[in-house]
Amino acid sequence: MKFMGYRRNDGRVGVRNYVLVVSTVFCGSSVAQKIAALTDTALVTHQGGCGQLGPDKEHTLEILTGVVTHPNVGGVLVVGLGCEQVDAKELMAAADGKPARYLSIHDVGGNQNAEKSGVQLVNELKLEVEKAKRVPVGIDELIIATQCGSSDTGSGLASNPVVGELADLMVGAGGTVILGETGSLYGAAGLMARRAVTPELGQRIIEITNVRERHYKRMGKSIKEANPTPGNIEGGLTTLVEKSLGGVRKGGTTPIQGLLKPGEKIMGKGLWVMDTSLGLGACASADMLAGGAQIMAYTTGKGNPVGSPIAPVIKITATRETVTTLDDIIDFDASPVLLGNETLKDCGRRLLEEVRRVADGDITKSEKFGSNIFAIGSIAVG
Amino acid sequence: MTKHRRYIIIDERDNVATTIEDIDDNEIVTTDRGDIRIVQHIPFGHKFALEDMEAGDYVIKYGERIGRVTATLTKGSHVHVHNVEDIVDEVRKN
Repeated sequence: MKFMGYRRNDGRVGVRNYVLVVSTVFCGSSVAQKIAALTDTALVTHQGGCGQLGPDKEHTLEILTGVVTHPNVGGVLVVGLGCEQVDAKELMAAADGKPARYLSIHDVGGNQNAEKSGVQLVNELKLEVEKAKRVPVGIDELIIATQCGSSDTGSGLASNPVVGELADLMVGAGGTVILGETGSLYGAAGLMARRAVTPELGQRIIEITNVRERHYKRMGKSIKEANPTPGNIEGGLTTLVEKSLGGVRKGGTTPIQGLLKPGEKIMGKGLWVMDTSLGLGACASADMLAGGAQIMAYTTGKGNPVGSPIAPVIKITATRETVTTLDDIIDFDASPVLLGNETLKDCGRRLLEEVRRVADGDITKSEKFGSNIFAIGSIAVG
Repeated sequence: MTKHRRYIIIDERDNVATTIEDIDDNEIVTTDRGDIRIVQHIPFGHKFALEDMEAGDYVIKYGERIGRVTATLTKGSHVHVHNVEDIVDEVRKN
């Protein structure tokens, strides 16, 4: 199976050709927002970039580097303040041959000058970025990130297993699938360890869930004690193991090839686990996408509108009511599975077709609305 | 109206099925493992046993152990927190 993608200088393939405005630090976010709004371009802002320590500081730099080098990004304007931890000029240089510019709010003389200068730089970038053309490439070039949000009973029962079917099809075709959301792996860690290609990798997968549980315990929470929640039990979930298995089913059933740090550049094929950072779901998404995933398969029950500035996010639900009431949020209707009219396998094949269409350029609902949600999490230690 | 499935069995190794609509007690559900009489009302999203089980048996869903049965139950029974215990510590041992 082939699709039409953008071959970048580093060999990776993009499914989009975004011009991106990215702020190095939260202080530059307003200027970046104005420039992106005035030029109708993608936008990455975040809460970090200065005053961060140790692993969190390194993580922010790794994510921002992943963003500017991302194959879906055709060109990038880096907006800095001038005195922050993350250096705007260095981040621009990381784009490594891609059309890129930077500006410093201190250097250009304030907000309005930065805005004016930024718009001009983006207009220059647009002319260069437009030169990139789609070429036929194999589907094995795709890296699919998986995520869930606003889940319901249909998530573990239908939409996650449907994404799992997609994952198995992708891996079978030579592509890559990323499973993240470390906290939700807890009850399935033993199973995942047995599916790891080496015993040593299996132990590392168990250990990342131990670190997560210890971290939460220090915060006064425990994954084990808090799950399944009363709402989960009412919905039919009996044990934490069942809940976790329903979540990790998004990754399908193939062997686990390796473990990635949050935001680490994804180089391998097959199914990989990423030890995503602490924070909201958006942080786990940012980790997997910054790592180079070009498309996200996102399962939802009640309907979640979150999109990404650097990748199309395919919203999948098996809940019929959500499909009908949230038409401008849901991209893929898996409800025939929950209505008993379609098998998981057939629905998975239909989802693969949807992925190919999106890779070819079909616009997702969150892209159409312009949802630019991006957040950088912190690193769990313990 | 075409007859549609009323439950999902995610993996062929599973010994429970999950309902995709409420099923009342005494209803007969057709499965590829024979007809099963539902023992008590099973709400949407809950599980019923596909076979008779003894205390100590594992509940299998997604092709994996998800819990341990704590009482004798016949096929068609509601399988949930009242007759299943979590095995999270056990399954986390590699």
